[in-house]
Amino acid sequence: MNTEIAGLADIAPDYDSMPYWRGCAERRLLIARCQSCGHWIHYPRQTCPKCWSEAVEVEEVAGNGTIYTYVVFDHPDPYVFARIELTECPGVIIMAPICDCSPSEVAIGMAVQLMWIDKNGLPVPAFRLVSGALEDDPIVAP
Amino acid sequence: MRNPIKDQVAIVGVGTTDYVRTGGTKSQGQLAVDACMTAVRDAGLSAKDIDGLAGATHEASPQYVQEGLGIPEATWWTTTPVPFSLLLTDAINAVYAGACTTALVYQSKLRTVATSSSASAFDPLRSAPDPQNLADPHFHKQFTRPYGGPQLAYAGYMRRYMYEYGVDRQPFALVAVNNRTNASENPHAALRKRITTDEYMAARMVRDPMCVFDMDYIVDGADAVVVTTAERAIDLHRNPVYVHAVAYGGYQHAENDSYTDLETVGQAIAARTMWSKSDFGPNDVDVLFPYDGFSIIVLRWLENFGYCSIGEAGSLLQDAWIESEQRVRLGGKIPLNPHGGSLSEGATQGAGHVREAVTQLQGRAGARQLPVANVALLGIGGLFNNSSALILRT
Repeated sequence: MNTEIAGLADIAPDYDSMPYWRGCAERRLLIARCQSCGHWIHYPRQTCPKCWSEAVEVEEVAGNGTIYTYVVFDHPDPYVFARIELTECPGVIIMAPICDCSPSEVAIGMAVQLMWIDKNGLPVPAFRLVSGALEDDPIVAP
Repeated sequence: MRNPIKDQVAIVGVGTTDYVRTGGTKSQGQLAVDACMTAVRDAGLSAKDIDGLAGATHEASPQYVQEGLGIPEATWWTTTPVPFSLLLTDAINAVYAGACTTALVYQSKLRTVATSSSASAFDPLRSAPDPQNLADPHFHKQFTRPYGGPQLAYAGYMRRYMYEYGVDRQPFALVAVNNRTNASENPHAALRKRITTDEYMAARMVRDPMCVFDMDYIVDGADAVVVTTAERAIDLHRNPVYVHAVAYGGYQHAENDSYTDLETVGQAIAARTMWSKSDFGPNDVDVLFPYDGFSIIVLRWLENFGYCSIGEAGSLLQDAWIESEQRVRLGGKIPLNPHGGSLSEGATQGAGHVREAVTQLQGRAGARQLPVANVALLGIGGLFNNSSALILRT
């Protein structure tokens, strides 16, 4: 079902999620949205939990958000994994690493911006702090 | 809410195995069988008296246990995801409905790398990976799989809790120390060496802000209980422990990291629904068992059960802290997890909590026996998708 996209086989995607992962392959963050009532639906589903409409399509979003909470994992090296609330999609959360910073710089409520990191050939979402994010920084993936 | 099962089903026997960290050589199935044999004997029954079995999914099947115990005929069985209270509730409902008369409920844990990353160092046979089961309640695993599958879950919830309510790590330390102090008096506990709040503060961070003392202690070990009708229980030789009320709590966004806000979680639903079925209130409780797979869960049980306001569990624990004893007694009286809980006795998904509640209510907890133990309140399970609350009474 997904052999055409590198890095996807190990993720075990399904029919609900394939539009999302196809977007990732193109470095586009595609979030499912009900075309009837406007409700954002993430993680993706094929019907709207709010109004039960089947008219669900993905829409590309910019990926600006804030940190709701996070944990500092210590393995293999310390890295920050966070729950991000997307500013433009009320109710949508993205679980992703915060890159290009040390754990001590991170705090709840900070503004973050989408970036992409490579996982086995597949680009996947990550975030960087809006303040102090330098365009020329090397990307440090967890 | 209506509660037709109230006091109609009783726990009449308990059994357990040793809880061991390393060196265990019993299969997960044999651990279950061992605990079940002890529980059936404890109830004064034999294999032919058992006609129902409830075990945990992916542990030891009812068929394995039935054969191992030589139970000739069963008329009901099930497997249910953990925690133990959910298996127990299935059996309670089955007995009440007449699907069987006397059921064995068992939980069996074997330490593997799925729950204990150091397990493979002790035995390579324990290096099987965590099965990726899309049918389980954590059905969104694929979205974190590219990053190695991290879950913020209870550690992320703990950080947000500290942020929203303005608390430091002290309340979590009190939970950990309370449980260890209690475990030090429990010969069955896997961790009996007392700890101090200073040791807690200096402990290794595992998932910052969660340190090693905030997380349950993985062991090999099994527990079982026998449940039957109240009518039959009266004829047996143990004092029956009646199931007074039980409720689960499931919220629309029940996956570990999907909650919409800290307060809207399954645990709140379980607690509220259970109280609506119960003739008892928080002040009628003699002994309290807030499940402690992670210390944060204990704080929330205290709040959701109504012992304090939301966000005030830290103050409650501080006020209830008895410095000379290094443990908590709510209102100077009610102990929390007198057996040491999953943090210190050992991690068996609430099975230890149920066993200790029954033991206390039957008046045979030895040196730990409470002077008065007629009503036990148990909050078993986590915050999100597996929460349940129950009252056991004499």
